[in-house]
Amino acid sequence: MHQLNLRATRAASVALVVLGVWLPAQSSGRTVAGQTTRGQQVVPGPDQTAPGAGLAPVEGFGEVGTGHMGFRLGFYDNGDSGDGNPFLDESLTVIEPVAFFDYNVSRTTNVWGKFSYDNVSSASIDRLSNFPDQSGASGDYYFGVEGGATWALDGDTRIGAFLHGSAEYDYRSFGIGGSYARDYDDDSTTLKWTGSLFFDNLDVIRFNGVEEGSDNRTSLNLGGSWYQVLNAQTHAETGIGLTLQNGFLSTPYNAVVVEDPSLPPNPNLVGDARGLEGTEVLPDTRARLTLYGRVRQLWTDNIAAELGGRLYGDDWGVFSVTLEPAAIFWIVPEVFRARVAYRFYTQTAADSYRARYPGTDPAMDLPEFRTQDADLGAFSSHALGLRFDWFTSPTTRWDLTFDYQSRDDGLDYFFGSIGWTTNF
Amino acid sequence: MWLQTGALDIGDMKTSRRTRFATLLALAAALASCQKVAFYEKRYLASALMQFDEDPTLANFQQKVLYSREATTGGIGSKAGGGCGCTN
Repeated sequence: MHQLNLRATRAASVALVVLGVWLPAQSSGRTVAGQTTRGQQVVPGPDQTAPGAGLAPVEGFGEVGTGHMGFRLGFYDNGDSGDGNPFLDESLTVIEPVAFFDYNVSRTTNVWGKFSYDNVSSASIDRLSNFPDQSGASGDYYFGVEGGATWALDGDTRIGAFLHGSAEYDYRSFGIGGSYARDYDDDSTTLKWTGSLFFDNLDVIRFNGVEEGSDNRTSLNLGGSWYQVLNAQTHAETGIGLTLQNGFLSTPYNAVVVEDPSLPPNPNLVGDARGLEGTEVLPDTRARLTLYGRVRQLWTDNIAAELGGRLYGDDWGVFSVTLEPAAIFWIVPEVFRARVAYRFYTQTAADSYRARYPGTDPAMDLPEFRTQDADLGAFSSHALGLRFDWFTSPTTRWDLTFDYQSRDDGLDYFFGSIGWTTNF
Repeated sequence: MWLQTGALDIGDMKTSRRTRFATLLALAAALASCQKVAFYEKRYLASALMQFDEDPTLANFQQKVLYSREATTGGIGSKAGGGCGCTN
């Protein structure tokens, strides 16, 4: 543990030294009056002309009666080439419409709402339709509503609160949260603290349709973030998040398969494999810690670059690293914008994960905690993300996004979307 | 924890002190790199190329995909836990 701590500290030192050496070289003497930033939001200045500037949700301070609204239709698909869980066809398709609005009720109060719906179709749903009460992918649908408000207490301080509610075939969730943000140094620095608490309830319907009543899952999230203007063309944000969960944290319909060549073929398994299914069991508590950051710099009037990263660890044994460099640029200045991003992600397996469980009897041969969920296994992925924005007017934007993720365990996936956003 | 030195031997303590000193030095260097940027100099940061998290609908969709397929959650623009049966 001590060695790990030393390594972590050394890594932090190296990162900070790199940051410290690199950032001063990016100074600028350009001084053009116009706009200011306030954390993640844009406060329009007197000569705001850039299309899209101002499309970000405004946390207060907007003109009364103004706001933003947006709609997105997302599509997600992953196939199954026989990799991942060898006993399960993990093909999955999701279509998700999402709508969002925010509205300035007064100069100091902004309200917002978000509505989303998922239509889910998967091979597991097809298979488990043999069991009328089982859905197979945590529901054939998801419906979620969130709403909240942000109040500006003074020119530098904002507080926010939100409520969340969602329902799925076998899963219900209610959440509440709040935030406190304060600007410093003429809005060059913003510190934000957030907290949320989710109370989830799920029906425990097993892979074979057996119902075991309902159970609960509670998630407490605490976070802090630091936004910093580094120079006239560079700003960054970094943060830390802690999540504490307890309750029923397994996926109730997930199965683990005990393999025995002497068993008869099992028609419920891919390829009629010779094995018997048992239930997935995972610990009922989980502590998760996330460190993240990103820095973005305007290189020219038409090109900006961003580098983002994240470190994650939890007490289930999962540790992950994410790196995401991106370039954002105008194809046609102030009309067509593009974002090209690469994302590297790698994670270690949860302690409870095994790809195979040899044995004869699920009741006797499975460890206390066990899962065969490939998403809890070790894998690395490389993703390419493309996004194109078309600013049809100074206040309205259409966009198309495409993301393809290639995983070394073979469970590649694609997701794309079309979105529309406008100021009013 | 690396801040707790009581259980470490002398060699570890020296290494740890050097590491902490390097960390503090690096932190000071990073903070020193922050330049005072006046209100009227921030036009470029307000460019449409420089906005963080400007679209809640896109963040909702992309993050949901990622946290349903990875054992990790939290980070920029992400719901940190709870609220969906799809999380790992």
